[in-house]
Parts: sequence; structure tokens; C-alpha cells
Amino acid sequence: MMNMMEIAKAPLINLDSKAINDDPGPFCMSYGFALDPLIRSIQEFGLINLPIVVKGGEGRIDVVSGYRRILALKNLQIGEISCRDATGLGLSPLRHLLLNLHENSVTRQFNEVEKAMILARLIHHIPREEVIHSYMPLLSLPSRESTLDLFLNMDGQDHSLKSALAKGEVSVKAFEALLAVESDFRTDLVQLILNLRLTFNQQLQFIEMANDICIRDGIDIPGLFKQSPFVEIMENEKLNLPQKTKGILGLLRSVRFPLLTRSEESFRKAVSGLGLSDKLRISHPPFFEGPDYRLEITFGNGRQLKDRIKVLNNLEGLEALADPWQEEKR
Amino acid sequence: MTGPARFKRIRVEEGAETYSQTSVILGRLNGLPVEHVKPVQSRQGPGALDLDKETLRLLPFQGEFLKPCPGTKEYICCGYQILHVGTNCPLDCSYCVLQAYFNQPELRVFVNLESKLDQIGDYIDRNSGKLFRIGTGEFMDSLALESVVGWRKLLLPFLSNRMNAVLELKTKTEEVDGLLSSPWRERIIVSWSLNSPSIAAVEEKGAPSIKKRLEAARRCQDEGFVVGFHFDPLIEHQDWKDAYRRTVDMMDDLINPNGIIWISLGCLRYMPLLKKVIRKRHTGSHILDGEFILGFDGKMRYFKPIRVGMYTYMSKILNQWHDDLGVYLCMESDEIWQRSLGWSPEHSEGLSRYLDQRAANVFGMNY
Repeated sequence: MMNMMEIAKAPLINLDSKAINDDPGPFCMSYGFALDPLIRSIQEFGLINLPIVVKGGEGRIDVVSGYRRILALKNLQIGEISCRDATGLGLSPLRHLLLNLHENSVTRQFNEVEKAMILARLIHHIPREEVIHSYMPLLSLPSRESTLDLFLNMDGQDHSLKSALAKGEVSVKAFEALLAVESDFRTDLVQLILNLRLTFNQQLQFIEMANDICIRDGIDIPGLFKQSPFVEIMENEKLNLPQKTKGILGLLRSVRFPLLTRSEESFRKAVSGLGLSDKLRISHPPFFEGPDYRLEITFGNGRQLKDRIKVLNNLEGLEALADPWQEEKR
Repeated sequence: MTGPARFKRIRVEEGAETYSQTSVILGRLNGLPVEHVKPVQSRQGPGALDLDKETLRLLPFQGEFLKPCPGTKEYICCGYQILHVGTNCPLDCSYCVLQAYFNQPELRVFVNLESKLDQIGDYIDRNSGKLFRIGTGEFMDSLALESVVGWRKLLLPFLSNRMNAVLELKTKTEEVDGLLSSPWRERIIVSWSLNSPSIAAVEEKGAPSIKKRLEAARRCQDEGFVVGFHFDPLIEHQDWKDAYRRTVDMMDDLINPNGIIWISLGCLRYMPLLKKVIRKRHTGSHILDGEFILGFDGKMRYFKPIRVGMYTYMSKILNQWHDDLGVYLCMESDEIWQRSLGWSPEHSEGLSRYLDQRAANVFGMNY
């Protein structure tokens, strides 16, 4: 354990802000944050807590704590930044990393990319087992190898994908599904997800269906969405965004599951052709997997029920209702 | 000689050293590095990618060795009893459920089987009114490690003393030399998992061709073994009808249909978790191209008319070859049975009775 006042004893130094790199370096774990509130706070009250830095080899300055503050100061065109220099304290790189982790974890929640950054840094210093069992729960992650691997993979992804993950625009499950997609085309899919403003559930379906179709048909993601039915929906000015989203998802589903969607459509048409009132409803089992169809009769009393059964009994064409795929030539 | 397995090391788990099977196996694999290890504490998450098929782990199994096949009530199950002799498999089939089923890697052999056989035997003997159809091929290939482990030396004599049990050894390999050298034939079924030649070549890595499997089956038939076949998983792929017909044609060339106890048909189904494993471990695979829906058992399976089409076609070409092959469906509904085969056992008990009767007729048992 560290002496509680030890950090406070670290000498003050003034650093040329240009000498400090813009990236978070090996100890900091901030990604996808809004800098404006911090800039405003510094403008109003000045810098309350000094950043902590250590000097690395070849004159490199590594930020141990206060990465966002330094970025805010740079943004404010502050040329010289006062910092505490922890180089002389003799702390190991792991201690620097843990210092930052603990300082951040008590004051804020980490986003998914930050969790990935933390794990990617910890794994260099701590055995996997310990990372899994001691640190993943700290990040509210399940202690599983597969989850660790998923997050380690996240750290190395393209900025646009990481940005969407950090903002919560793309779910971790969607990210996992994206890993099955050829890496060159992940960004294309993320862009479409953002453009269509898909919900988390829709994201998963969208990625899986698009990837499945591409693998099946031997095409790539841009090739799929350049096909005219997709382009027509995307470029249709009469459709609002929810309508486009629904249209694209529906089209993907019909391409991915042609027989199933044709069957659903045929069944829907057959039922609608019966001209049932809204008090009578006929539906098929999910995916037609069960053997039986379902009839729902809404009624207010026995008399109404009898009447509706009579209507059904006399309904022309009811006996022709059958499995919709029997017409299919397989 | 290790059959299709290519071991680079052996791990002997604490407690395994005391069993004679451990020394026998170590003797057979003399020269491989041996590590003595503690039981694995931390498990990989389900669907971990590194299955480490180059490591053979010898361990005592603490669970039940004989268990009913974990069928589901929603579909008709054959009532098979699994003899759990080990887990994982040296073959690397893209569709293999074991990739997602177990959260521990390595090929695991339970070396305390011999010490449990009396207990298993007592259970079978106590239930003399029931016919036990036992198989070792649920969690690994029954014969792929035979030359290393030599299960036949334990299991075949064990079965010979049990008049109410048959043992089915399910395999994709041609590792039958050991079996053929044994004197036991009664109530032993050697069965092969079959597919179309193209699926076998592309999706069943490490497994012999269909022709080689059938040649091995032929050798077994010639030496007096009863054989079975399992077209499971049937996979919808380009020209699948012609492709599966080629396999049936090869069966016609090589196999005597009168010596077949049963042939099962089962369309590809998988736990949803397996999909991402397949996508990562078998990047060129097209087995997921079909129209899969979520079945009642939580597994993905082909949309109903596709399954009916495949079963109908397969049963037609098999029946054209011979009309008494004991064709049955694995994990399907009464409705699919009726639509595909024109009859149904209605429920799992009915299918069990049907298969028991097949076994009884073939082996002259009273059931």
C-alpha cells in the first residue's frame, strides 16, 4: 500500500503543453468524452487538481492522472501546464495504471471502450486469471475468458466503431456480431446502423442478416447495399427515417429468409382474403413451427359468440386455408 | 498409432494416476511429454475458440457415466443412453455441437470408467425389463481414440454379459481394426455418421471420405457386425439431392442393406451460441446459409418445409434401395414424422419401442 501523502510530495513542474502527447498514453483510460464542461469549469474556477505525470525514456511525458484536464488546458491554448512529477516516487507502471483506474472508478462510470482500454492495459502487467477474477467485476463485466477476449478485441478497432460504442450508439452484442463481418466492412455497417438509428435489437438482426447474405451470396457489404432495392428505399424521399428503417430490415429479412417471408406473406394474404371482421383473428404459429394455426374470437356474450361462430361456419373459402408453402416448387 | 488424433502432450489430472487405464494409455503414447496437473479450476466461457485438440487429458470423471440422452419434450427423442467415456473429438467438423457445448478444451478421457462398470452393470441388471440402447458417440467419436484408449477391451466384454443392452459405437472414422480383432459381436452396433461427399470433404475436417467410411462399414459387416448409419446433420447445399443420392449409391455398392439395424435422419440444428463459433473457426463454411428458425427446444433448425422436403427425399431414396432400413428421425415433431415418412411413433416412448424392437429382432432378444 502506498503512503497516503506520498503523491502530494511529488514535486511541482511546469511543462510546455506541446511536450505532452494528445493520446492517453499507457496509464489513462478516457475515450469518447465531452471536453466542454471541463473547459468551462477551468475557465470559471481555474485548474483545481494538478495532473500527475511521469517522465519516460527519450524525454517522453506520460500522463498518470489528469489526461482530460491536460486536453482542456491545451484547448484553452495554455502554453505551460503545472503538474506533479511522480517520476521520483519509484512507482511501477502497474501502480501508475492502478492509480488512474482507482481515481476514475470512484468518480465516474466507464464506457465500453474505456473498459476495453483498461483491460488491454492491465493484461500487460497482470495474469489473465487475475484480470478476469479481480478486475472484470470492478468494471461490471462477467468474469469470463470470452468477455475478456471480446473487450481486448474492442481496443484495437477503428475509431468510428469505438466512438459509436463509447457513446452507446452501438451495443456490445452488436459489436460481437460485427466481429463475424470482414474487418474492412465493419465501418460501412456501423455507418448504416447510425444512419438508420437502429435499436440494439435491430442492430443485431441487421448485422447478422447482412453478414449471412453476403457469405451465402459471395458478395461484400457495400455490394449488398448497392443493390437497387436497398438503394431505392434509402433514396426514397417520400419515406421518413422509421419507414426507411422498417423497409431496409424487411427487405433484408426477405432476402435472408425468402421461403419463410413468402410463406408469411401468402398466409397473410389468404387470411385477409377471407374478409374477417376485427373480432375474428387467424394467426400462424411462430415461424410456422408448431402444427396448429390459431383462431381468436372476441365477444361480449354468448349470443355474440354464437353469431361469430355462425359467421365463421358460413365463411366462403375457409376450408381452402392451408400451409402457404404447398404452392412452393422446391 | 493414434488414429485421427495428433497429440503433442498428455496432461494427467490429479487422481488419474491410480487408474490402470492411465498407465495403459501412457504406455501407448510413450514418448509424448506428460504433465501432471491439478483439475482445471477456471473454465473457458462457452464457445471458446481454442479447443486444443492436440492435448490429451486423462482424468477421473465425477459425474454419472450412464445418462439418458438429453432430448427435449418438444420433439420426439430416441431414448438413447449415453455412456459418458470422454469429451471432445480429434475431428473438426464445422457444425460440431461440442464446440459450443463444453466449456473445457482438450480431448478428455475418463480413466475411471473401468471402476464404474460394476455400478453401471448393476443398474442395467436391476432394470431387466428395459432394453438399454447405449452409445458412446454423443460427446466424442466412439472410435477416433480407440487405438489410444482401447475402450473395446472394457466395453465389449461388459456388454456380452448384459442381455438387455446393446452398445452402439458411432463414428466417422475407419478405426475398426481393434473391433475386428475382438471376439465380440453380439449386441454391438457399429454405426457411421454419413453426409454428402461434398459436405464430408469440406465441412468434416479430419474425417475420412464417405467411401472410406462405407468401406470400413463393409469390413465390419463382413466380419459379422451389425451396422447402422446416421445422416445427421443433413445440410441443405447446392445440388443436395444429387449429392445425397451419391452417398446412397455408394451404400448400395458397398453395404448389405439386410445387415443394417437403423438409419437416422436429422437436419442440421444448432444452439444459437454455436453460430459465432462457426463463423470464427470455420470462415469458409456455408452450412449456415439455409433458412434457420428458432425451434421449440431453443435450437436453430431449418424452416419446416425445408426439413420435410429433405426427410421426404432421403427416405424416398433410402426406401428405393431397401424397404426395411429402420429409417427414423432424430429430434423431430410428430407432424414432421407424418409429413415426411407417412407415419409417426407419436412420442418418444413410441420411438424407443420402435428402436427397441429393431434391436430385439436383429439380435434375437425378447423385447
